[in-house]
Amino acid sequence: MPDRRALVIGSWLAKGRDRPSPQRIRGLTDRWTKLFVEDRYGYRSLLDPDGMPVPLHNPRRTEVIHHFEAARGVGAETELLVYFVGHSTNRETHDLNLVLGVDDGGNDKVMSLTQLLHEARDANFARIVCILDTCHAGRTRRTFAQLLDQSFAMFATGDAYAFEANFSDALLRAFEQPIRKNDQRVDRLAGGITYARLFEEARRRLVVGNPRDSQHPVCFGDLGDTVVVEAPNVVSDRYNVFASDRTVYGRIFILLRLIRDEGRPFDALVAAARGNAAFLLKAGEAGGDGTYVSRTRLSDYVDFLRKVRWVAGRNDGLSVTPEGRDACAEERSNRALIDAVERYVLPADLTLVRLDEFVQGLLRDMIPPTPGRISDRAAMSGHVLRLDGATRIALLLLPTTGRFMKGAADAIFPAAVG
Amino acid sequence: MAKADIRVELVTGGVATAGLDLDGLRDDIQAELDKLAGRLDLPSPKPKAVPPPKGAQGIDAVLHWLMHVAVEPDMLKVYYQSFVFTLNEIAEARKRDAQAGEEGRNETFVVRVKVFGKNIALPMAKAAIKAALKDAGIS
Repeated sequence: MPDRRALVIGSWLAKGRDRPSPQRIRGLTDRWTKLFVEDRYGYRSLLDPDGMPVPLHNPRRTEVIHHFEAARGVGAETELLVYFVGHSTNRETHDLNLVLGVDDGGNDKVMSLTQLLHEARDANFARIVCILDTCHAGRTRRTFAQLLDQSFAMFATGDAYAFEANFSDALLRAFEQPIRKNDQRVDRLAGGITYARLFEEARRRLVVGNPRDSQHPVCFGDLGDTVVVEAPNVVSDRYNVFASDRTVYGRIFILLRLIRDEGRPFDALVAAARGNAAFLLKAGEAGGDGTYVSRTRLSDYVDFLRKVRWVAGRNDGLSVTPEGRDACAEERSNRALIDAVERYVLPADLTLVRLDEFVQGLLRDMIPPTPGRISDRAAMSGHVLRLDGATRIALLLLPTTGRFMKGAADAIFPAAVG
Repeated sequence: MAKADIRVELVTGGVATAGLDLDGLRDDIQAELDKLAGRLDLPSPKPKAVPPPKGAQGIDAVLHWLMHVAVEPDMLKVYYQSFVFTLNEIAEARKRDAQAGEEGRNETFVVRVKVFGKNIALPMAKAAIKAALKDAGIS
């Protein structure tokens, strides 16, 4: 977990305003505290690299500055999350005054955003995630221009009003929710939940949840791709029960079991496959024979099984090897398949991780990752991936070994080994 | 509002556009009103705010100044004419500066002046201001 620090400021005091209420602001900062204690994101205090951040409520400006001046253990890679919820007013042409409280005369006590950023920079923070749940925050885009490659800004609104700290509520929900299946906060290419995806999830909640108080959150900055929580695509060791029998994955294991149960010549295997619905391509009309997987294709399957050393023998007497018997055990099938492909089918200098990179490269270039394209991309990187029958079968099998199997992702992502 | 009174509004609708120095615009308006008040030997009007909608976390939606005037109308017409044209130049300049800074932005503020019962929204073309002032009986 990278070194992460957080400074959370909540202010409900502003001249002539009584909302958001103190309870609302405290409720939000309490949720931040709870997140910090759960420690999913690894945020720590500025003042103490081992301590949890403590939210500030209506702080004096000197109190905020003190947090930066007394920040300890800040390195080049230390990430700062600075969050402010409350009121703000315009300052000059591209700046904001954050209202920290009111003075004895009832006037706003403010700190400019520029000063806040200066203090952070002076404290050697070079990676800044700034969350402002105030009005008009988007007018400061130019203020961030020089920090563009060192920051990510998430603002409740552009140059208009934000309402009732609704953005904070939506963003906190995005932070709070555990990772679920098909979680849209996960950026698969980045490898987990990113700041940009958290912002987008908050925006989703906001635009569908508060039609009365219309506001349009904005974000900018290059650090949006920073992974906040890793979400590796964990691959199960067990046989993938979600895979249909009619997938290449399903058929390979059915063939393996057919050979295991009755060691048989290839011709008998073809005949057995013809009677198995898993190999049916098109049903026959009015009780006629259907169309089944061709003999050539079945031969490719068997070649694959030989190549991964699960099946041995010539076509006149196929038998299952001890490794093949082991792979038939459902609790280990998937892992055995992945390992065997990497070990015996792919060239020695080509790992599955590298293969993933080729596929991701193709997707970035909007090229369908077919076996031919993958082979070309591998060759562009100096790896020879010969597309014999077994290798083609392997490339078609890999997507189904992934954990989340449904949908188009099956077709385009080979499974990452997690 | 009596006929000779003058009312000025700075209407933003709560939008603080990037590139626009709203405080500077407010100060410019205040300075012109101070000058006008000085010429008429009246106290300077102070702005009042129309607060933002409930729950909004930002600036006032409208600022307005009201100056109660009870002096000779003929003299007023000269002052008001000059005042409106000066305010127009201020509004135009602020708009121009903001648009130079933020390409393609349409400013959302309006400076609205009410003289002799006629509302004039600035910035506006000079010919249109002349026509509006004529409608108000100032020309």
